[in-house]
Amino acid sequence: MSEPAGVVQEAAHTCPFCAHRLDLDDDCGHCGATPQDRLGWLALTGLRLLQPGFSVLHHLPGAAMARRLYALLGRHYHPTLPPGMPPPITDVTFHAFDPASQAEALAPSSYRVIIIGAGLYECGAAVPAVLEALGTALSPGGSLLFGGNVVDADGGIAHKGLAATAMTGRTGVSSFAGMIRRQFKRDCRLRPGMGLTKEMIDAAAVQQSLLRRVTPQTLFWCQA
Amino acid sequence: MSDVISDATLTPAVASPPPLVNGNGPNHRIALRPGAGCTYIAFNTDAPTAAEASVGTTGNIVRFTDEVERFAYGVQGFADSLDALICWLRDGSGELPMRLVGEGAGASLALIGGILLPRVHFLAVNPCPSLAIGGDLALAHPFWGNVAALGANHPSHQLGVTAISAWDPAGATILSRDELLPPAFGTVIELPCRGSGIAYLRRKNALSPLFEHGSDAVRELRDGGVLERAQAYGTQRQFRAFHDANVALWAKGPSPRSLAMRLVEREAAWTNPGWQYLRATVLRRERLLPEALTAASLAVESGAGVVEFCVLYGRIAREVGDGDAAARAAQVLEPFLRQRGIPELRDSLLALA
Repeated sequence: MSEPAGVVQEAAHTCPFCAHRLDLDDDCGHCGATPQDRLGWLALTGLRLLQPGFSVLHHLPGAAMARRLYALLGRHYHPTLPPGMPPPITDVTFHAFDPASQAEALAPSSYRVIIIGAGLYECGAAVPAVLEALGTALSPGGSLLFGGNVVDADGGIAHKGLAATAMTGRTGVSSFAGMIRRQFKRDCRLRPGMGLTKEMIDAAAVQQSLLRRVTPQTLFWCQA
Repeated sequence: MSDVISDATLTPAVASPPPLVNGNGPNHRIALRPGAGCTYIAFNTDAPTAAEASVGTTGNIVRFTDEVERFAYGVQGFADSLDALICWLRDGSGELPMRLVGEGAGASLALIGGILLPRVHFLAVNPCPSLAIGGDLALAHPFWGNVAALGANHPSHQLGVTAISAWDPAGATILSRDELLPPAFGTVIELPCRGSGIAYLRRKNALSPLFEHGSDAVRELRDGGVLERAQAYGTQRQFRAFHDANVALWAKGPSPRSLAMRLVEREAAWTNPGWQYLRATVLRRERLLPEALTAASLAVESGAGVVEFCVLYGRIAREVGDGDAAARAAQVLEPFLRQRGIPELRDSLLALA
């Protein structure tokens, strides 16, 4: 039977964490997964970054993401919060970590995946140094996943330029890709591709019109 | 700390499951025992009982039930997601080694726990693909992806036993698939029974040895005829026919009917009583009663303890009007006279005989 005239079939959005229905851009009313949680999870699974035994450092995870990764990885999962911040859940143990001052203390090649939820925003002009330290902490072939906004070398918020760069592949001086490239002195790969990005944004129940904004939140750099 | 980070990343606190203390809920029951050396985690099963958990190493018993959602959303009233449940099993369940046991969807969850959790033994009886989506029979979680693949690099963790009822269509579904027997399933065994494998193992006093010794107990139980190695009661092709014919039996239309008939004719000689029961059902529907009676007779011959087999045999014997068959059917129904409807069926068979 066809739909009555004037009735628009609303697209069903389901949370990739718990399959409950949710509205675009909203937190899931059942498991609390934020859009960042959902995009992060879809990026991790879509890019096949999770493997048993992989050590994962995750700074500022949301509750749903922290539970999911701790359930899957157990002691290999290291969720961190800035010192003094209360943990979002009590059944996962969080550690205090300040990327700006402690990234250099991470043991070299100690993590296969490092996820920075949103903490780079706090680092200010120290972002390049933090990125370099995190890159050192990655084991060969490891992956770095960024979320949220970052600032460029001059202290300005770079999210606008980032989006443009990720969309077009340009390598302007102020771009995030250019910054990473300069910092690590090697080619970097920006993933996921546009096709996968669109799929992830659909699956994460985030508006397509926000594609430009969220693209840098799923920016992915893979060490050669 | 700035508000920007808090607002952008941290969600409101989600309730955590309670710690491991004695307590009951609508879907969980925790019984701690003094001097326990392990903790049994039971999913959708009444095993182990307190007596069974006292053989060898005494164990705490934590029992979870979820017949409706089948643990896809955790345990209602205890853990609001499967993530939270697994997190609880990692930490909240204490330092003792765990023994996971489950049947059906609970067995699937026991297998997932066997993959993800350290220091666990598991007994998974008749795992079902209910935690999967899209009809995919691989051991998968709808939101996690293929869990078996996730655990493929951890064969050392698989200290467990997966038991499958070889006379059951659901068991045939599993046994027809090669990919369902990866290391994550541990030692795969077949049970000569239909329906609840836990009940069968209990009748044969095999539960406690499997709990206590895991796969090391399998050899002894095989020697005793309690169980068999995987696909001992049929080939993969035969179990595939079992599954396909069962699906076709319940589908509508002429095409599934003809498919079911082709399959039962192709594997007519297979002596698996569950298969012969299905074969008799298909033949009876096509009004091929003499052939159906023969098939039902074969089912009863090997599976006399299964009430479904005996009832079908009795009904077909009554429809055929065969006096000898009716007399035999009345005899095989005797152990089940306390069940509803069976005395009436037996009386009608005796009248016919």
